[in-house]
Amino acid sequence: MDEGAVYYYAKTILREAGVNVFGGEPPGGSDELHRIELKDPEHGAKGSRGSRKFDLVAHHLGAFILIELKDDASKLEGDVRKLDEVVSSDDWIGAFWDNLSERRLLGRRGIPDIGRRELARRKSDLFVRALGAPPSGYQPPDDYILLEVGDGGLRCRAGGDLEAPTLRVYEDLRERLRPFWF
Amino acid sequence: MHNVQEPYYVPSKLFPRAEFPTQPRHRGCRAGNPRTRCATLTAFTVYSDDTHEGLWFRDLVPRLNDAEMETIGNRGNNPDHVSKLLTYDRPDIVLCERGEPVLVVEKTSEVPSGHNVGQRVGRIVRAAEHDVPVIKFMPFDAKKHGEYASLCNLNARILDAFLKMWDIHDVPVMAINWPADNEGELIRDGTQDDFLQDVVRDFLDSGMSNRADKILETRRIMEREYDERVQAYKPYGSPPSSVEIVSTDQFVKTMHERMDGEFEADPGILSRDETVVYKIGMSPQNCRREDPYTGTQFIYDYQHCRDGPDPSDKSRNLVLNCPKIPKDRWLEANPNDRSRKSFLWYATANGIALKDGFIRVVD
Repeated sequence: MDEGAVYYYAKTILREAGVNVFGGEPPGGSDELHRIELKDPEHGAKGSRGSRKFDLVAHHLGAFILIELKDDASKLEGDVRKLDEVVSSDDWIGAFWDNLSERRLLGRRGIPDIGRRELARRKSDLFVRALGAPPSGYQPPDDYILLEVGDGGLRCRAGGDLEAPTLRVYEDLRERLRPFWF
Repeated sequence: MHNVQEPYYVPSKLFPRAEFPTQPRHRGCRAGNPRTRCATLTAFTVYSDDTHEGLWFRDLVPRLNDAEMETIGNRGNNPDHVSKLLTYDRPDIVLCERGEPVLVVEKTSEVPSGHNVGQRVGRIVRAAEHDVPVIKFMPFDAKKHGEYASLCNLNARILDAFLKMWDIHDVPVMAINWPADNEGELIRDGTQDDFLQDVVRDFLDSGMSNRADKILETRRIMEREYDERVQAYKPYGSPPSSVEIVSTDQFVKTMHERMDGEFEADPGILSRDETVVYKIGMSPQNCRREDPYTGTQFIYDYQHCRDGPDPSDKSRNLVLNCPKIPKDRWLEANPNDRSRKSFLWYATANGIALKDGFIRVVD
C-alpha cells in the first residue's frame, strides 16, 4: 500500500466515522481538504521555508488531532519529532491559529472560535498527536495514537501514558472505527 | 470555546444511513472484504496520477467498486491505450474499459481565472482528439486565501472553448462546477462531488453514451453559465488584449518589417484571410517554460480558429507571437522534441513569430 492509499483510507474512513477531518495534504498534490501550513515563526509570515504541514488535521471531541502518515511505520521517526516540536511550542501553535484564521475556519465547519493566546495557553488540552501507517509491530510513543490503515479498513492503537485528551479521543476512536476494523 | 453546529461532512449517500456505531457507510471501503457489496463490472481499470485521486474516483460510483487500480507511469512506461492520452500532458484520471479509454477526468480546486485559465487544457484537448469524453471538475467561483485573498471567477472563455471542442470533435468536453458557499468558500463536506457523481454514474449506466441525460444537462449548464458570465462581464465575449485578429496581409507585412524583408509566408498561411496573433511577453531569460501559454493557445485556437478535428483544420491562422525572443534562443529553450513538454509549443499553432525569425509549425 503506497502513501496515497494510506492517506485516502485514513481520511475517508475517519470522515465516514464522524471525525471532522478538515485539513490535510495528500502526497504529491491537493484535494478537497484545507492545506494547513504553519509558517516558521523564525522566518516570518512570507514564503514556505521551514514551514510545517500535516498529512491530516481533524477536530474531534474538543481537540485538534494532528496526523502524520507513512507507507511504512519504520519511517515515522521524523514525524514524531515534528509533532512533538509543534505541540510543545507556543509559536508553532500560534502559527497554526494564524493559518486557521487566514482560511476563515475559526468558528466554522465545526471548528471552535478560539483566541490565539487561549489556544497556545491550553495547548496540552487541545492538541492530540497521531500517526498512521499500514499494520506492523510498531509501538507508538507515549501519548500518541496510531492509526493502522488497511485496504478499505482502519483501526487504532495507542502508546503508553496517555494524557486525558489523547485518552478521550483514543477511546472514542476505538468505538467509532469498530465497523471499519480489518 | 463553543462548537459551531454546522455540518462539516455529509456521509456517503450510496449506502443506507446507519446510526453510529453499527454499520459502516463509507462509499467503497469495508472492513474485511471491502468492495464486494455492489454489483460490479471488473472490466474497468482506473489509471491515476496519484493513488488517492484514483481511489477517490473509484469510490464515486459503486459500479467501479472492483475496478483495477493502476498508477500512470512516466513517459514510455504506460500501455499504448493510455500513453496516447499523455502526449500533451498527464491527466489525473483515465478510466478504461476492456483496454480502451472511456473517460478522462481532471480535478482542481483552483478557479481557472487570470493567468491560470489555460493551465491543464492540453490534456483536455488530447482526450477530445482521441474521442474520449473528458471532465474538468473545477470551481467556477471561489475565494482564494492568503496574502492576496479575493473571490476568483471563472474566465468564461474556457467554457466557450470547451463547447467548441465538444462540437468539433463530437465528444463531450465537460466543465463541472466544484460548488462554493455564499461566501465563496469551497464546499468540502463530501457533497461537492454529488453532481459529478451523477454524471459519471449516468454515463456508465448508459453504456458510455455521449448523449446520456446528465451529459446533456452538463452541456446546458455550460451554455447557460457562458451566456450569463458574458452578460455580466462583456469582455469575455471577445478576445483578451493579448490576442489580435488581423488580416493575414497585415500579419505578413508586420513580419516582413520585423525580419527586414526576409519573411516568406507559406501557402497554408496565405490561404486563410485572417490570422489570430497571440502575443506572449516572455523574455529570452525566462522563455524555457510552457505554462500557462501552451494551454491557453488551445483556448484561442478553438474559440477563433479551428473548424475541424485536425490541428490544421482552421478558418484562421493561429500564430504565437514572442517578439522579444531571438530564434536561436527559442530553439535552444523550446525544441520540438516529443520527449519534452516543450513539444506543446508545436501542437496546434501555424507558426511562432520571434524577434528575428518565424518557425512554421502546423499545416
